[in-house]
Amino acid sequence: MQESSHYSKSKAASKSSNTSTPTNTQKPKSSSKKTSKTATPVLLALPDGELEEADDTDVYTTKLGGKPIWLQPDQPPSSSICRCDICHEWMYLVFQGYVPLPKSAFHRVLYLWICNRRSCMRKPGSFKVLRSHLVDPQYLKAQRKKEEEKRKQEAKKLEQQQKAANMFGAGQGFQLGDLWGADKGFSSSKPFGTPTFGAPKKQDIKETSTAEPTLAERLSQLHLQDTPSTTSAVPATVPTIDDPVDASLLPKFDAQYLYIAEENLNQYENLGMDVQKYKKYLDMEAELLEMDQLASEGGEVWVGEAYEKQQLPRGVDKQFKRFMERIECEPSQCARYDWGGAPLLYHQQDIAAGKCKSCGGRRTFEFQLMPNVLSLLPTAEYAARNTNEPTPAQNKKALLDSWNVGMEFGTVLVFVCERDCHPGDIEQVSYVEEAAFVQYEMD
Amino acid sequence: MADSATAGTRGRGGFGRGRGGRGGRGGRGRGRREEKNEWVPVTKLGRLVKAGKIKSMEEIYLFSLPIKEYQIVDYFLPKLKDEVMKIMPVQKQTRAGQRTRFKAFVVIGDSDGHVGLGVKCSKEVATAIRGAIILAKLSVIPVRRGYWGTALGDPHTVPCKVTGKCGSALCRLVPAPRGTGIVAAPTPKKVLQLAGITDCYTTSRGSTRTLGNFVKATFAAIGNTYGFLTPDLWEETEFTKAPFQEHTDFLSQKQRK
Repeated sequence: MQESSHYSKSKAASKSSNTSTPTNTQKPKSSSKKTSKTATPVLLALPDGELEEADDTDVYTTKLGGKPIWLQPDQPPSSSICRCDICHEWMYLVFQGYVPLPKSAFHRVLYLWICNRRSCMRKPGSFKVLRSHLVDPQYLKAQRKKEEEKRKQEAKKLEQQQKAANMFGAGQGFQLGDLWGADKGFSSSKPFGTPTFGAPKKQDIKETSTAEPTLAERLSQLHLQDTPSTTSAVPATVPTIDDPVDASLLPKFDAQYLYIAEENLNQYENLGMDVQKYKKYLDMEAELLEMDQLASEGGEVWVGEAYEKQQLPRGVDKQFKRFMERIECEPSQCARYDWGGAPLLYHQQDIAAGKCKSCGGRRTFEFQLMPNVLSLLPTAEYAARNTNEPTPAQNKKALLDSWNVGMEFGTVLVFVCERDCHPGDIEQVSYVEEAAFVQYEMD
Repeated sequence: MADSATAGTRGRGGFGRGRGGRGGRGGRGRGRREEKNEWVPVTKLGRLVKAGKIKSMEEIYLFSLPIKEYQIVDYFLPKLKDEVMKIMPVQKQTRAGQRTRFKAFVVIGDSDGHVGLGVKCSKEVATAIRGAIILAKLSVIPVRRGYWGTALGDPHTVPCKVTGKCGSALCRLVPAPRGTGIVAAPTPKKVLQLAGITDCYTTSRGSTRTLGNFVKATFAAIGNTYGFLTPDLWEETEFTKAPFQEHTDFLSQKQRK
């Protein structure tokens, strides 16, 4: 009954069910076409058991809760990142993830803090994201070597082409740009009529040779030290951190490991419902198509029925329905990672990502936190513990409200700088605050 | 698309693409595929229900909290029985000819005070049925039952005359004495049976051939049973003293000039 490729867009396939259309309002760059080979699937973070406090020392672990581990342990960020802007209390670390980007020489870690007070919810300042960079010397060396080699090869090719051009007797000075404006100066036979190296490649070389120096330049200015700098002096372009946070003072939840897996949408079946009971109706499907409306069983006639848009219950909109169906394939997912992809919205809403605070560039989506986190972390218990209020049992509504404590969200979308900027000295660890866009439940 | 679930797994460590084997010290690997039927709540109410903080559906009804997850209803009312009333093809005229979809009507109830009605259109019968069942669960409503005569035994009929209307179809439910059974057309009779109403007279008006509207009218009428304010639901009034009684001492004094 179910097609193997649920995301096939062919309308002609009458078997494709309504629920298998792309679940995001904007077409996601990666995960909508499952047949595309270059599409990168969304990565899911699934809970994977407890992390003991004694083992919670590795900066490369992706985890929920626990205490924040810094890339440079003696250079923590300012404590303002761990304080809620509204109530000025300490926030809880909810997520820490090691998220290096491909082709980047930096160790990269993301931290997400959330205030555990219900009164701070639905206001800006209670969700904070920090991105931390630290350059990785070996990776950097390997990258530089690769680039050096590439450059040498390209320079060699360029030389060869120059020689070839001169051999063809082109009177003018050799200019890359004039290659295909060949009518201008050359004879009727185009010197590169059958270009040995291919025209597009020339363009590439030209571009890379101009783009390269900036990166290579930058990296060549780097000098590698064997020991990390122990001074806390930071260059003037980056604000000095005068109130470094002491991680041992922060309140924390018990940590849990997160296991990373790719999203697998193959189990997008009947979503748990046993449709075999209705076999009678399923078999009737073909007959129903030709059924004469007036001849029905039971002697009753249903007339005047037309297509009816389904009435969604209060508080549910189409996007929420898609959200639920998408995560039903993997209900325990805690986070979805898709650098540059489209987020899975909790309900239909326009997202304003804003600009990067440190470099002014655009922001792009990186990952989002899912509601299962609230079921895993003991947010309500910790919040109730902190307020020390006796639960009033007389008024039922007050009782219900007494359970509505702690942090709440539908999903948290994290947007980061598109260019992955690194303020300050390249060798130093850097901290940049990124944006968290929170979608709450409606109603 | 052909990769299995294990091909893309990264284990513990980072989300980073293109960097293998960094990070993820410690402990156990993941023994994958535990029970997938575990419900993971996505809404506030769902989390409260799963944690057991809410004891019954009635508490949700009391505060009119919107129910967005059908598993909440499954949790409180495990004995719900669903019944597909009708599946019919509906057609839409497009430039490329007719487009046929299936419309499914599903009624769900536990024959003891809760009913739900769901209607869903879809290109496939299975999807329509599944969607209609979910919508029916999300629309479950409590039914108030009462007595025709003396309040002896369990309530068996509607507490008063109630009516519901949808389109031009109107359905009126009238209390009936015990043993009458449900006096109604076959289609609304099913709805009333699943609601747990044992005896009832019905009257209908309007185009009852549009059975879709007729069923919705009956459902609306059943829903109105709890919307009707009867004297036993009046609040106890605190009687204050009448002014003459309250100031009787002052009044008994002779009037001064």
